[in-house]
Amino acid sequence: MGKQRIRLAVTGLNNTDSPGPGVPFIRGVKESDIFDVHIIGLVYENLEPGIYMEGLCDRIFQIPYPSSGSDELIERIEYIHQQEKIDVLVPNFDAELFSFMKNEERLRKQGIQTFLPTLTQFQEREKHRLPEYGKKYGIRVPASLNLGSLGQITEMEDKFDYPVMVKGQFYDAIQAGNKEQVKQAFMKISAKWGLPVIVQEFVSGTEVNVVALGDGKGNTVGAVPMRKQYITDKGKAWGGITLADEKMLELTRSVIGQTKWRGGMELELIKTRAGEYYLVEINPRIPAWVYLAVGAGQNIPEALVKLALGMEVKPMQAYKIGKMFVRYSYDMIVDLEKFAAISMNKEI
Amino acid sequence: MEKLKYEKPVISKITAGVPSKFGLPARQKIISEIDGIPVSKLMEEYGSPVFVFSENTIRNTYAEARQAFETRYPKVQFAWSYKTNYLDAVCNIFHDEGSWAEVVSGFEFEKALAIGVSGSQILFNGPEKSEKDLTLAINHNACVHIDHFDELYLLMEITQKLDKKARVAIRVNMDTGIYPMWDRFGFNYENGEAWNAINRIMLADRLELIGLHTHIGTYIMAPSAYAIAATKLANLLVATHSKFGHWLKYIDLGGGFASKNTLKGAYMPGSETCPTFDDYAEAITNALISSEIPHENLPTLFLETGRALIDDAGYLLTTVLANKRSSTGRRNMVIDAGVNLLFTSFWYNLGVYPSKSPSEYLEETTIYGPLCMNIDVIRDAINFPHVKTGDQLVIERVGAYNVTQWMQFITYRPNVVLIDLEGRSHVIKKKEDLETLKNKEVKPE
Amino acid sequence: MEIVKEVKISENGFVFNSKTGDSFNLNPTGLALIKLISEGKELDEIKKEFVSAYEVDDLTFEKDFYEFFTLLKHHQIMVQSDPLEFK
Ligand SMILES: Cc1ncc(COP(=O)(O)O)c(C=O)c1O
Repeated sequence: MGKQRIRLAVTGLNNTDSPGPGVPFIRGVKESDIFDVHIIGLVYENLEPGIYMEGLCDRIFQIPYPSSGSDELIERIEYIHQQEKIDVLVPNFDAELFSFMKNEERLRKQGIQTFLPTLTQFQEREKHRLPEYGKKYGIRVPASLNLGSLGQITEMEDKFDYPVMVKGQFYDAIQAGNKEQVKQAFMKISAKWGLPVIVQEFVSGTEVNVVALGDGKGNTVGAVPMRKQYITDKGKAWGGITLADEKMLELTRSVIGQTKWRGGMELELIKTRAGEYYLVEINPRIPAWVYLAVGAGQNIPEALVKLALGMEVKPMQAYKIGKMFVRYSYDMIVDLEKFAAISMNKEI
Repeated sequence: MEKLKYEKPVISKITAGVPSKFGLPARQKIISEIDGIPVSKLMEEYGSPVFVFSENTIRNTYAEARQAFETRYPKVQFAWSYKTNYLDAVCNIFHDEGSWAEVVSGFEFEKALAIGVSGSQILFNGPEKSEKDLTLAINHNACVHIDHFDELYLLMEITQKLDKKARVAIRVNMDTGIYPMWDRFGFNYENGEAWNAINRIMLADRLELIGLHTHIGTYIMAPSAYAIAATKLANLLVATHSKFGHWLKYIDLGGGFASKNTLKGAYMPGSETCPTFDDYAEAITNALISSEIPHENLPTLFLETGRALIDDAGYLLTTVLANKRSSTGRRNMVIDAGVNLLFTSFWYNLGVYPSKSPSEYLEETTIYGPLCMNIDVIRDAINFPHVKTGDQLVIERVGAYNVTQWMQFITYRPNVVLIDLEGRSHVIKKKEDLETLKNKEVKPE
Repeated sequence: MEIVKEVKISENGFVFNSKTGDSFNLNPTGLALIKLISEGKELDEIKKEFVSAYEVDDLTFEKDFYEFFTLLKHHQIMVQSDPLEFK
């Protein structure tokens, strides 16, 4: 039987030193035994490496940032749909999820399928709500305090010992060893990401992550745990290895089971010496290292596309333990024409 | 031969990585008329700049808010937050719709009385209430929302002196998960101060405690914060009843609902992310109804909603004075309305729109006001079409706080116009002139 | 003053300055104008052509022309070595 032809639109082709998951996602789906994919790459910037990678995308379109308004973004998608007929759309940036979640129905009516978390699922996992999240679902999270002003530092000092982690609502994490450093981190982060600034108790241990996929009914369709072996100065994994860690999988299944999580996710955990796991963050999308899962035997991108198309997917349980990924950087030689084309025509 | 459509010639740098939006098919919104009156006509008649309010929008927004609450809760009463906009014509519309008055100073109190609001329908908030103000409030049977113990003791003194009873409520501050927490006003809930204040008042002869008030902050994006506030006030209400056998008449949740403006630093436009009145109403009324207060003793719910009721109804019409290039080639535009008229431009990215079909291409632009001061920036980065000197622009959602916080600086404050339900325009505040300003000046003898 | 020889202008309005490595985007009127400038024509001549071909008056065009010109200089598409040279 021939493969099913599908037309897949993917964002996040920014395979830089802080990579988006678009390129690995496409790699995964291209290895599918059941799909023959036509890839429509959606880019925000004209230097996203995915634009220039030979044989990766069949078409490329530039789309406006969601900050210019969801309507503008969605109308652009609709325009692309008229030309390319998108079957499945996979957004890969946190910042665009809100717009796509809000417009899921509108897109579906036109035949564009997505597979995203619900707004409630998305919001309750937000960083400044982590303590409530932990309490609600019975998961250990680091104690934290949301700072609205510097005046609360005394309150923080009553609660935690130094060092502490100072975090922005959306991004950034700075370790601070004393009051002065907390103040500096607070200023820096609040200027960029607004209030509150989150101060978390410092949990020492190893950083471990899980890439997982929930079917929206409480089933974990895929889950692969990984330990970062090398972390860049941007905090990104440059190398990682799959783990045989039943506890991490149990925790993942418990989160997905209770929340009925729909779509891809990444759990960021810290495993202490004592073998306790602290959940520090839930990313509401597939991470950039998802290709490790594919390599270890769980084609999570393919499974996500199947779910989006309403196909039945059997939970994947097995994966190869001890598989590693090592990232590398590579200079492509490209012609000015492609750059000119995406900059001028907004499509290739 | 027919001439080609002219568009200002532009060249713009393609920044590698971050695309300039220039060149992407632009869909520029235009505001060419307000309630059926062309912008050009309004400006011809009333000058530039000019504030324009739509009575229709005010009444519709109010009706929407009222419906959201009244369909969910038996007793709801709005009190118009004067500080948001105390132009008589605007206040009158709210009072006509059934709003009480919420004031925060002796001046606002006098203004409400002068408009004809009955003293018993005035809620008196704020940390600054002089003996004179309090006396006025007591004599008019207003409800005084006590901010701190010093005020409480002053009230006891005055009521004794006057030998009159004062109707009072206390302002409570609390942790609702909102940052920063506004704990500078009122009595704190968590540390028991609010409960102490209630006890003290219940024992005072001439103070009649009738309600509880809080105002948790402004532009609150989380309806859940109001649910927490409602629950905490309900707890105090129940505690007061258990100890004193007295059901307080109302719970006042203050203002703070977000208007559809976009906060600086927000990633998404406010019009997409702000909760609706229904969202707020759902959270608040659920919390009250599911509290331990028996149904027949449910208090009246007071709301002092300000910006969310009036922001959308106000526009500022302005004229392009100049287009220039900065030393770095960036596009700058100067308009005739400055930050002295637009206080809210300090925290919002206000929407600025052309009044007629502009050029097809957008370019990132800084919009400056006309003041001879460096801080006079209306928008520091906005993708804007090319417009010419003399073109008329409309700034939307400026109905809240601007016409109360504006400053007279180097020029006269402009006309304020109201378009009534029949689509007729009226000046509701006249442009200042030299007389207005010299009037209060006195030369030393 | 002339357009720097390292600057290449394509028919779709894409401009590449190989001396600085910068690229630019022209709108259709910008493209028409830069072509006339690159032919070495002076303002008066260009103005005449523009005013007869487009719906634009003298003054508006002159203002826009100088603004465009400033941008060309700013982007080093044209060079002006002496700040007092008037063009
Ligand atoms: C006591 C009180 N009530 C109501 C308001 C109105 O608030 P908003 O405009 O945010 O609705 C304010 C504004 O600061 C206030 O201080």
